[in-house]
Amino acid sequence: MKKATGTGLPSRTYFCARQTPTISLILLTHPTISHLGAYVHCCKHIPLFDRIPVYATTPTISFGRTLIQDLYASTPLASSTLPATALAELSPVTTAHGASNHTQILLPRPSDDELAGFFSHIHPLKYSQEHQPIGSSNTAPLEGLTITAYPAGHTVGGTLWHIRYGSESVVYGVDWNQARENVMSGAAWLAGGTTTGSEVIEQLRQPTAFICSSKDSQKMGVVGGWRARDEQLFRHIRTTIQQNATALIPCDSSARVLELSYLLERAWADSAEFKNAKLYLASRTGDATMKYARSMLEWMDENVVREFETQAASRSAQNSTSKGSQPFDFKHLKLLERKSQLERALASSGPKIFLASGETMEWGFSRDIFMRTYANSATLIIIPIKPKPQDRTSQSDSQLSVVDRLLMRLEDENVATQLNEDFQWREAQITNLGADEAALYQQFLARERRRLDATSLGTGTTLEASTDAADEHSLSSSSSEDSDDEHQGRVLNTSVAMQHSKRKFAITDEELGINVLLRRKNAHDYDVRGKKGRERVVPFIARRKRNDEFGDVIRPEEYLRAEERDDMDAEASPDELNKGNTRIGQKRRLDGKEAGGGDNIRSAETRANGKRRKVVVSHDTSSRKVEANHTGAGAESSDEMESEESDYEPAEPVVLGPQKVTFSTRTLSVKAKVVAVDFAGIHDKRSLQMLLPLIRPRKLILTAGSVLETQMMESDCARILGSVTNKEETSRTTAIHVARNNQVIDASVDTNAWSLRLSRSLLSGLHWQKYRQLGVVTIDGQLEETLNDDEESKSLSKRPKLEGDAGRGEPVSDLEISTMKAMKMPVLNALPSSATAMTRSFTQSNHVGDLRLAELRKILQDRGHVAQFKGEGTLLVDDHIAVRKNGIGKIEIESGGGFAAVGSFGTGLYTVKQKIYEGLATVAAR
Amino acid sequence: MFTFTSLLGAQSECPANQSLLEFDGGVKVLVDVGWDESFDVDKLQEIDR
Repeated sequence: MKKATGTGLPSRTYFCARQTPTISLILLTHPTISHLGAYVHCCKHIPLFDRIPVYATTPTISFGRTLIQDLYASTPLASSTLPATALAELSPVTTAHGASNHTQILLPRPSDDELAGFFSHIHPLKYSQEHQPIGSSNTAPLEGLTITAYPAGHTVGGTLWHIRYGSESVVYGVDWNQARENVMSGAAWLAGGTTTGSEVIEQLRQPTAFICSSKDSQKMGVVGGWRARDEQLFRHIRTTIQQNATALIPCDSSARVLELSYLLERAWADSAEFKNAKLYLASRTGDATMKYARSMLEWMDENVVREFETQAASRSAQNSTSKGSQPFDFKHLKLLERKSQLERALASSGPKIFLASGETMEWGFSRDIFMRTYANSATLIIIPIKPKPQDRTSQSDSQLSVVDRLLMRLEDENVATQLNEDFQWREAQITNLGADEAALYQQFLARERRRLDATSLGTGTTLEASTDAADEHSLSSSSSEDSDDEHQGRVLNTSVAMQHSKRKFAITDEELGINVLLRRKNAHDYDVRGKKGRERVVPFIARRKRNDEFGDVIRPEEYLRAEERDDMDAEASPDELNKGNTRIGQKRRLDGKEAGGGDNIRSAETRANGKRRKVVVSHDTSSRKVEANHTGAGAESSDEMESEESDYEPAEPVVLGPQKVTFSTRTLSVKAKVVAVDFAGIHDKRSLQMLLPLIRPRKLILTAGSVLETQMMESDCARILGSVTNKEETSRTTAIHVARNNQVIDASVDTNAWSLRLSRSLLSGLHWQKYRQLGVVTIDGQLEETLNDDEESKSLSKRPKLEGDAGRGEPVSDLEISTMKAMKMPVLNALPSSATAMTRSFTQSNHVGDLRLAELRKILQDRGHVAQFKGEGTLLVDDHIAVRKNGIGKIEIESGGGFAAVGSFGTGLYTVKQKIYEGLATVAAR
Repeated sequence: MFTFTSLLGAQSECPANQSLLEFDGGVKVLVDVGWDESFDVDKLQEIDR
């Protein structure tokens, strides 16, 4: 794999994926930029990426959507620019200017519909619900893969992923938070959510590998917990109000903002001292985010749910407009979604507190507010994260975000630092491309399209066939064809659009068949004599109205007042409109997805048409398929998957042409005050040190953190986990790995496992025992080299796993391990009968498997026994037999003696033993 | 068989997270598709590769 460096890369393709086709599925953890910020970009620009099944919890999807909408609406830079090396490849002339001066041409930005489609494409999961994904047909089969989401804290919908495959039990936890807060409940490690000593819940206990973030791992939590932290924030706000000034809290769009907005609203509601100050939340998607928040209370801490219920009860009891407010139904916090509203708020008098999105202040309303208030020495900027304990003076200001720069200047933990210095301020201007640049851009698009076609052809006919199938779907309103999961939520993004356009050229009228009526401009007649089925029926596209949980989706563009619409048109220069029209036909679709330009959330198409095109492709079967797949997962999202099909819409979509960004710098004389309060909500040193020994992973992989944090956490963990002194477990210490980007870490649980082929004669004599999803069997065999590949041997994908009872990784069979490496793919053949007598292996019978006491209880109860859990992990059967599991997994049975009738004494014990054996697999000696 | 490869975020100042978990039989799971505020496509090369 190549390192991700910015310069000096050899010529390579960018958006033509080679890795992507082999990804089986994608999991998303938190609705933040650092966790899913590139998701939409990849869906749009990397071909085949959007075919990969994606899973996330419902709030992650919804809040992720509003976050990315806010991002793309706020800054054109989110669309990213053509990489310098791509430009260099296209035209060597440009390199003459030097790499740093290359034109920053913006890539096409995803349209709102595309964006929504990419998120609708994600399969929602509930917490603690095991799910077995079905992969797409062109990647590896996923049988036996189970994924489960657990609460991680930190964000609403934040996830600890548990992935089980074969004997691997992997837990992935990055940016989790053990402590509960106002809105977010803590991570799901401990049963009952207690923070005092107990056991980690069984599902997450002792994973074979635990991937853990090391961010903030050296941080000591605030003394007094989150209440003390809240109080710190209030203190700073009080000071600002007293000084009749403005406070700015830059936060993210849909994650930590929920915690902040919730507690600020409550503070305003509860205490009178804040009442004369105005509280605002400035975010372009603030309204949508809070709407989702109101409908997702059950994903939050139970106190929030309780508050909701008591409010609802008191309201219905009193039958009046009650004084109390529902969670996230703001009476004091005002939502500002547009620049004009923000301007008005800034212009008003009196103390003002702004929660504003754009957590780094590199984009968004937080940046705008800063630009208006930085010169006032009473302005207070409250940054909701703590600076990292690291010497950052090596990095120059230009590489750091605004927030990072401000954090660097903090002098004191608790007292605001008054700034009085000059800031270098970089601003971006968006302009249209010159003629040369436009040509370059077209070249780039053409090249990407060629590469895309090459990829799709390269992946075989399945792709073409599947696209055909989808095409047929899209053209008829009812189709009962089977579609794979990969067709779910097929959005018409760049790659598919390009495929369509490519075929539009290649397809003759005969191939189109009856769809020629739709596709070709002047085709009005079609001869149906002698045709069958769909070819005899007039093609019809059903219009699908988009709706979400709250009913029809309202498109604000349709409700523009005349003057607002005029304003928008005035902004668009006539050149841009013409540019869109002069493109040749098929490119129109690609650029039709562009909605470039500054701050406008409304795409360019609306300017010309005045109302958004409503013709949408019907995805009947695909959306139904999703429902069927999700009956288990309980899909909450009712967003329909749709796409704009400009194929079928004769109206011309107007685009702003491609654009470039140029930067200019100026100096700001900043006089404001800065302070930081830790609202990051990530595990701290104490919770890590408390939990890791309880989790007791076999292997611990440290990732996601700075070099210093990771190294320090490694030494801490070595100390804590290396010396586990459970009586029977001194041999099992945790292996700690430190991840490095692009470095492969082997964290397999099977340290002694090999791939073999079994000969057919051997196979036929085997008696498999079933244990969960594995088959277990003893084999005595003779190892031979493969002579030719077309031997009659049958190769199994499962390795024969022969495990001892006490611990894993101890093979029982007598295979010659040392000769393994010399052979290519050795074959295990049945022993010839003469040899059997001589080489009788003296293996002991072993029981394999892990029987959970809960399962045993169920089995016994089904048999009519009385079985109850008594105390910690003891099962009491029929009042006189106690079954316990000791530390290393051995099951112990004790019998209490003679209360029951004499006859049942012995049989009771025997029955229980028998049931236990049945629950395990016996690896017997021959 | 299980291997872990961090694509972004391990021992790095960059807050973005992307990890690749690979299991037996070619099952590859991409966990998180994070980005940082530079919105630099070069960071996505590994998925892109």
